[in-house]
Amino acid sequence: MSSFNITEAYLKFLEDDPDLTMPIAAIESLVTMLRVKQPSTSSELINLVKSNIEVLKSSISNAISLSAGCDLFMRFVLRNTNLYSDWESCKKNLVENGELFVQRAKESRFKSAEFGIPFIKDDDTILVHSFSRVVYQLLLLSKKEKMIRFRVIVTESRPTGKGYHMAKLLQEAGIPVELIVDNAVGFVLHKVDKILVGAEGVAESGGIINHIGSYQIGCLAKANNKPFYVATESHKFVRLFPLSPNDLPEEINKLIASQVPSESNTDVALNTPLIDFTPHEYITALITDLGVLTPSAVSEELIKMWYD
Amino acid sequence: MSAVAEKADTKDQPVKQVKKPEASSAEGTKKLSGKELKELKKLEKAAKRAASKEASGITPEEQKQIAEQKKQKAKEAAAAAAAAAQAHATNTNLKKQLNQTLIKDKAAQKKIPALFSHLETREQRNASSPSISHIVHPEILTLTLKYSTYKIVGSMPRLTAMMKAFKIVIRDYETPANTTLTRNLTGHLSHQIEYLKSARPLSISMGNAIRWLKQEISVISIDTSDEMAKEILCEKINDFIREKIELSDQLIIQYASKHITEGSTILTFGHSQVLEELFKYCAREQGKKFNLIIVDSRPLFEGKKLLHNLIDTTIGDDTYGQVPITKDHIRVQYTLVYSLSSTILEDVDCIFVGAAAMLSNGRLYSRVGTGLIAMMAHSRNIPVLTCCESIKFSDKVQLDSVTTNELADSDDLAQDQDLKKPPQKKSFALEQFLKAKKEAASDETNNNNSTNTNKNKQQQQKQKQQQQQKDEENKADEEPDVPLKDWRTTPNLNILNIMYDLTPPEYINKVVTELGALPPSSVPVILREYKNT
Amino acid sequence: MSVTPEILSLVDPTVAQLKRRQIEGTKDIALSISQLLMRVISTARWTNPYDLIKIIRKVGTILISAQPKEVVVGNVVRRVLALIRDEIETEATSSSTTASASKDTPMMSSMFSLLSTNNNDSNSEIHHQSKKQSSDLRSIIIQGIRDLIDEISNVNEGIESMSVDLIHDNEILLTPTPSSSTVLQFLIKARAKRKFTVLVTENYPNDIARARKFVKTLAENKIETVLIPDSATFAVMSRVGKVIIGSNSVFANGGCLTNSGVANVVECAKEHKTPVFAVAGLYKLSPLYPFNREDLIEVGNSGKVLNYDDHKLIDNVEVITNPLYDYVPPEHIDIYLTNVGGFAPSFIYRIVLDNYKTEDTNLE
Repeated sequence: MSSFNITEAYLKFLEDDPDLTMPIAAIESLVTMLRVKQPSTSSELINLVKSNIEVLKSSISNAISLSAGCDLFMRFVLRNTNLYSDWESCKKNLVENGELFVQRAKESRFKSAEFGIPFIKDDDTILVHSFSRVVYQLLLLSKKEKMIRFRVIVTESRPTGKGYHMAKLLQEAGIPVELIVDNAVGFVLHKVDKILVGAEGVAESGGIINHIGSYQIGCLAKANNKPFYVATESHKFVRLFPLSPNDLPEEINKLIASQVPSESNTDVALNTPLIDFTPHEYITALITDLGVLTPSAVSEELIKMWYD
Repeated sequence: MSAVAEKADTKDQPVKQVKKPEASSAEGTKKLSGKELKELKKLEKAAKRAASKEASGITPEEQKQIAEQKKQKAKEAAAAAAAAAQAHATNTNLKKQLNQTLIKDKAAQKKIPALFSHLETREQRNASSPSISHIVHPEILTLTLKYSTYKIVGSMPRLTAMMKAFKIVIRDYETPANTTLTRNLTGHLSHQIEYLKSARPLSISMGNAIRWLKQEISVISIDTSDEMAKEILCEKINDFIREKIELSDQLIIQYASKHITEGSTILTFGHSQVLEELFKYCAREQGKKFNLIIVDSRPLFEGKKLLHNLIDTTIGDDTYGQVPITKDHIRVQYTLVYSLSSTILEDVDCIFVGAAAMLSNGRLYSRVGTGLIAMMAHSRNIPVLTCCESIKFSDKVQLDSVTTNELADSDDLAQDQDLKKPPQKKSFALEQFLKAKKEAASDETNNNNSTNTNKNKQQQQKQKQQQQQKDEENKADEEPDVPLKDWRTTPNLNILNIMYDLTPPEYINKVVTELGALPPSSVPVILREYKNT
Repeated sequence: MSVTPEILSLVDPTVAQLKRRQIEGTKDIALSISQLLMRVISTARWTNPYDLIKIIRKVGTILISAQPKEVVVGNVVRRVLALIRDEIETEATSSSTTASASKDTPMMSSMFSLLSTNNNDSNSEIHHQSKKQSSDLRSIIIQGIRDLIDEISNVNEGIESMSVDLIHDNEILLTPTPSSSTVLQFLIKARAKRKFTVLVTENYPNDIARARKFVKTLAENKIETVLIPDSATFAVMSRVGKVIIGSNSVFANGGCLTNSGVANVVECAKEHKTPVFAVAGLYKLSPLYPFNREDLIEVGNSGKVLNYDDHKLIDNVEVITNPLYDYVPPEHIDIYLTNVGGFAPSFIYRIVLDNYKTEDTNLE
């Protein structure tokens, strides 16, 4: 048997299709693995899936959504093998219809965007943090299909600088954009009508795990009475329950040691985490492909999934 | 029948009067218990005498008048006593007189909700009894009427009117024999103030002003002639009005106008004199154009007054005619207090509220409804500013709106009033007159019934017809849209009409006074500085 | 099968009544809509139940556009639709021999829909309903609607039974919604066993007549009542133990629509940490999400705020509004009391999901 490197497959999926989200790529790679390895018994299947998931999780940093996707797949497999007598056909379905998942995943992004459109009204000023495909899809749809006129303020989102990418895309779509530094959020907040962010993962309590800076924005939003909306797909619900913004497992939250800017003369290293956790009290609503959910509805979905 | 009632009343009065002195005046004069007992005994004797006199045919009214005159003469003859004691005595005397002229209505019980039962209600005193008027100056009588009918409302207007009335009282004052102006004038003024209080309790600013005036009176040297002294006092009162009210307002307006920028949206509640001046100044002198949201509330509808005054202010030269500032400079939006949360507070930049007093623990004592607005503004991060002259600062501390407050007439709320006018008050005397008339009429029919025991059928029928007519009249009087007309007689039902409420300091961002702008926690600092100067 | 003129003629009188505001009060509206739907179902003809669903959806759209801000209309229509869909499902599971796999799982998370391969679109293929079955369906549905009407009429009984547990002796309660008969019944029932005081706000200018009647009725039932003006809410709130409000409709996120003036009171209560109870019948719960506040609030006669006779003032004032409703966000309410029990606002979405189907949220 050829040595199947799941990480390679995963990365290749991501490369081939830039529109793919990480959990879907993970599921795709797991499905491909099943196709290659062809386990014959259910226990072999389960073990195979488990070991590959571990490999995948350990090799990729910032793997919250990745682990969400893996967990979802794991649960699905387990449940199918436990409850269905004809898991064989189910497995065949999984293996053969890889394409279908990708399609469905893109659709779920579209569905989330559709649910979120009623939130955007004419003359709105929306604050967006970093880059999220769901948020971009939402704003694009509002502009193109519903012809709503609004403007967007995007944060730079250091250290990754993804805000620039978002700003560029929005500008190409014809939406008026303004870029601000992360520290200026409090300054512009009174002009803003609502805040829209994406999510890497949604925790059990309804809080979200997202790029660093989301928690700060959430706090400011609450203090200034501005609604804070999160747009995400439902397959990002993950089984974590952090208690504080920095209560995330170490492997997931790999720090980046960034280079000291040339102007400054210090030898102090700049270490920054890439993601943080925003508790559910700061979130007004979650826009998902299942509809607009309150944070407590999220827990119910997760409970249902993990209910044994 | 009425005679019996009044006899019973005079018997009740000693009990009431023991309580009355305990509802102390703003001056805080303490009553000696010995004196109270003496009064008590005197009154009992008077009652006995009254009973015996009634038997001899003198009406109770005349009795009272004779008794009062006697008492007065006795009191004024005993002028050898210290001035304070004398003032004290005439004070109690006045109160007694006021009480005696009070026609107690047994049916009208004191109906206040248990929550506020420690507050004094607006039991109206007889405003124009002839036996009082020769003590109280007519200017004060007019003023009292104006206060009680809400013709003059608001801390500053009341204060200004009161000081002007005092000037006239001082001018007309004649020092009686055997005493000097410095000693007697204070007492004289105290009578007037006692009478004023019967309309509405004194505001903090009025209390501070009275204290100042008494201080000024006491420092006048004994050598100055009465004429000179009166001149000096009138001058001082003029200066006071000018300094503490007019100039202070100007300073406050100059500072506060910085917060009203071109195109901003300002919200204000009710009517405050200094705020009205502020808006006029910004529109007229500074030529700013801004939006003004006037929030109003029942039952006083002071916002309408503000609106009227703003409309009456005009700008413009004579060629194009005078245009009210509300047409082009101030864009007015008028709402009531209930609609605050839905859309009103969305775009407001700044909120201005007036003050009745600033308490020592940083709390704002102002028209009821201010606390509600300040709280809602606070949760939406809208700054709340108060414009408060330093004359309104008080030493008191208070934690909530229930401990001390002013209870207004609950009937204001029970009536469905005409929105154009402030609460219409029938004078108490008129009401009593009408009531007496009704009773007399029913007495007549009763007498007819009892005396003509062997009536013809015709007469009986006549009686019935009369009764029916009266019933119909009563029904016609009953307005269908005032279902709470008889709330006083319905058990378990109460109507609460308080005048003020307390706003905690965390909801107020800035207090603008003539000494500068302060955070609300700095009020005791100002009070301390004042005491030292 | 589209909506026939026959059905339209049935619907028209109710539509006219709604447009002219001849039916007042959420309860009456709910009852008249349910009775109308009963009539529509009895007269409508359909070959398969999905056609019936289409008819009801169309009728629902017409009714909602008659009074768009009245949420209860949509609620009743969706309840009936949920009834019909439930009936269809139970019939399908009983008649079909092979149960589809997804139905067996006890709690199927909808997240699995991503990976599941079961086609749920085969519903329209069930054509084998015979005429006999359809008439059975009709009578079953009509019985269901009758049950719904019973539930709506008796909504107060369910709620007032909880009153004795929630109100203690010597408490001071505040209610800013005197137009709610549910609150009235709630308090009267509690009076039987407890002695308390009730403060009622005047609700000037919109509800002042009803407020006065309310206080009179309370006083007649031997409850200590005090009528206070709206501005005095903040002043008395420090002495108030509980706030009880009635609502017009409750949304899926736990927020509710109430008469204007209530949002002030509830915010005051939040500042003083006073608990707030909201009473609402089950028919008032709605699957809608309140996206935009301004769209929800109906505006009434501005002349009540500033009389049109006052022409000097009217001439110089630019804007006068008289909003009739207020939106209360879920954080300001502690408990919702419905005839099926008490719930926290964060749990309302579940009750909504139990009684309505997600396909019906959008009726167009």
